[in-house]
Amino acid sequence: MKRWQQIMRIGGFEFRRFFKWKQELFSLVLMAVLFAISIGWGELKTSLEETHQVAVVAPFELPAVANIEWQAMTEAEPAFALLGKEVAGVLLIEPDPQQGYRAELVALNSAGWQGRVQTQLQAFLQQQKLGDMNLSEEQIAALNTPPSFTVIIQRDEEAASSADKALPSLILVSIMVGVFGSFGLMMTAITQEKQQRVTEQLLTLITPGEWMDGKILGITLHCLKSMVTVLVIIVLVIVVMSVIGGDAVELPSINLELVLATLLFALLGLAMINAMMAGFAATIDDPNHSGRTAMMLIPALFVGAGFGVMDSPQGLLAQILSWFPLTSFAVMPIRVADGGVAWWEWLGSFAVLMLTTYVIRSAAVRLFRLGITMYGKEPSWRLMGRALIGRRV
Amino acid sequence: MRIEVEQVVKDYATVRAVDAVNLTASGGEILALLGPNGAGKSSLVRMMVGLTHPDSGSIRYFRDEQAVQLSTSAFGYLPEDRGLYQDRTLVDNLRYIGRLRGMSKEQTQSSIDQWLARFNLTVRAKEPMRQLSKGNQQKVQLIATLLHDPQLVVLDEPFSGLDPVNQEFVLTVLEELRQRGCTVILSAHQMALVERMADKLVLMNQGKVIAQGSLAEVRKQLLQRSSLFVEFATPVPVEIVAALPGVEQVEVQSAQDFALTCSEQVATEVLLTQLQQLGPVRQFSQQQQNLHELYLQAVQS
Repeated sequence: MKRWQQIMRIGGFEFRRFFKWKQELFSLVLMAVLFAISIGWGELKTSLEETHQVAVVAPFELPAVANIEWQAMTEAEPAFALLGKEVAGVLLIEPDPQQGYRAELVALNSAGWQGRVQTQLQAFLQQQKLGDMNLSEEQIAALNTPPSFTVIIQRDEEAASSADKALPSLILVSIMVGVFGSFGLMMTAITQEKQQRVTEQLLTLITPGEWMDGKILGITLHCLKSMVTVLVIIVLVIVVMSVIGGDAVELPSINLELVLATLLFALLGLAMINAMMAGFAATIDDPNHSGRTAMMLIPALFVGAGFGVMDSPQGLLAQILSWFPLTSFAVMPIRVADGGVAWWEWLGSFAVLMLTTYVIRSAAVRLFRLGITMYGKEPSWRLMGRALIGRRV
Repeated sequence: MRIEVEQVVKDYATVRAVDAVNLTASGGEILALLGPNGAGKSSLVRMMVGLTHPDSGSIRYFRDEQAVQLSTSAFGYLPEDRGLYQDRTLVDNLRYIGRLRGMSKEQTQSSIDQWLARFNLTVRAKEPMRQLSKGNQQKVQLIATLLHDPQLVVLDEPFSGLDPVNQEFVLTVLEELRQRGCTVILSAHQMALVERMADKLVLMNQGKVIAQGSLAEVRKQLLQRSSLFVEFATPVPVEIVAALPGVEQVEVQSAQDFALTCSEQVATEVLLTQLQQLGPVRQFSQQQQNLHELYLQAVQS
């Protein structure tokens, strides 16, 4: 049987091993609910908050504030008599020669509603003050309008929408999901096989190289699936919330080059990280007690580099990281999404990533071969070092 | 398929696990490797299936007298350290192994159906492995080894974890394999079972072969002492019996009955003549030691 056929079979088995329909649907629903809750949290909180009674002594009627019921009174003394019994606070508003108006809110305990009342009434009193100055409508409008400040980006044909600006974050979040997925799945896959003593049986059927490549294939595909799922969920929730809020649906402008570059870099980057994880996981005997488990989180730092340069995707640091093969899979897609990266540049970076992945995969196979049949003990760092550089162990 | 092991040596860091071992097993034969823990049986078996390689010596395979490479479809291996995916169903596990052995989907399914029925596991086919008892898991392991109808079957401790009923069942399966012309090599501790079925025995200790051949041949190679029984017609003093040349130990059963342990060099007819000079002999017989006793005797010496 051909080597690639074995790898495809192992890859398929590894993918199915972690792809469970019920769990998949449950996590999709859970993710959608969590996103929806996080986006609509403000609205939800306001609608569920109790209404607070506030006694008001003021020379004019106050505007409505959500979850606050004003109780107008003429004297301060009877208002304070109700504090803590019928009202949660007493608000006194008086004219002030220097500031126009002065407001004082008295409550027994500090609470979140007091901040909201302060913000909204400050704005209202500012308008009242301007109204008392006998200014014309135009003058008031001019005072309320800050001086204009426009940023003109010459490179873009049209100004980037907020959805376009969010695109790099979406790409990075999805890559982070992929990297954490590969950490968890590869670790589980290999340490379980060692603990369940599956290894010796399988190693008479396949070579360590075929086994590891099959695992990389299956788990990389599984991580890509998770990335796509997360992206689709985020976009769907944003669309649904926009529709509910009555806003225009705004989606980022995605071109073929961006999709292609992101897909290629994510695929190869995940394959590289999965190769590292597979080699290293094979040397771990018991994940609950091994001190080496933390080492497997190192690839998360590579994605962290992407978040670090997100505010300046065309800066010198971003350019260097987009060529450095351990970080290019996370940084180059951000630069491509930002625009202005020539096709030869990302293809060149991709070629460097391919070469590095090949070298890392070859070293990882040697480490995998060393560790996979070791039960009850872990190879020493020295032995691992020798395996990595291809010396006899 | 015939397997020939010649002068095979395997060293690990501080120990020689296999020391100049020679053996041959042919189609239609069951060869049993016997020995205490650490005798080198599993190290030898691992080399036979290609998991490790000898430091010196050779392991060769022949089909129709032609030397061949050992392909994954030609042999089945049941390791000592064995397990399958506990969270996958019984069928998933077997299907995966069948496909990795190069069987088509149809062949795999038909073989799985046949073996599950043979092992009375059909109704449990869709259950995860973790729900099966240890004995049933062991049976699934054996099915995984035999699924592709191999010509060479290598089983490391196939009876461990099985109750007597299932041990008998495995014996029946091994007998069927022998009748089909399959070469079966197994390592085991259960002497009584091995004695009943093996065509060839290889006894190992500290990496070396201490005896090999058929049961009779092994018995002959291991027999260092003979056990004899003598019954006199009249009482005879034990000291006189114990003083006879070649008699190493005397167990007194009565004043007339004695069990004698003699060195292998003693000629029984000479001893009988000497015993008759001590008094009239009513009965004189040789006691047969079983394989277990011979095995213990050989390993301890």
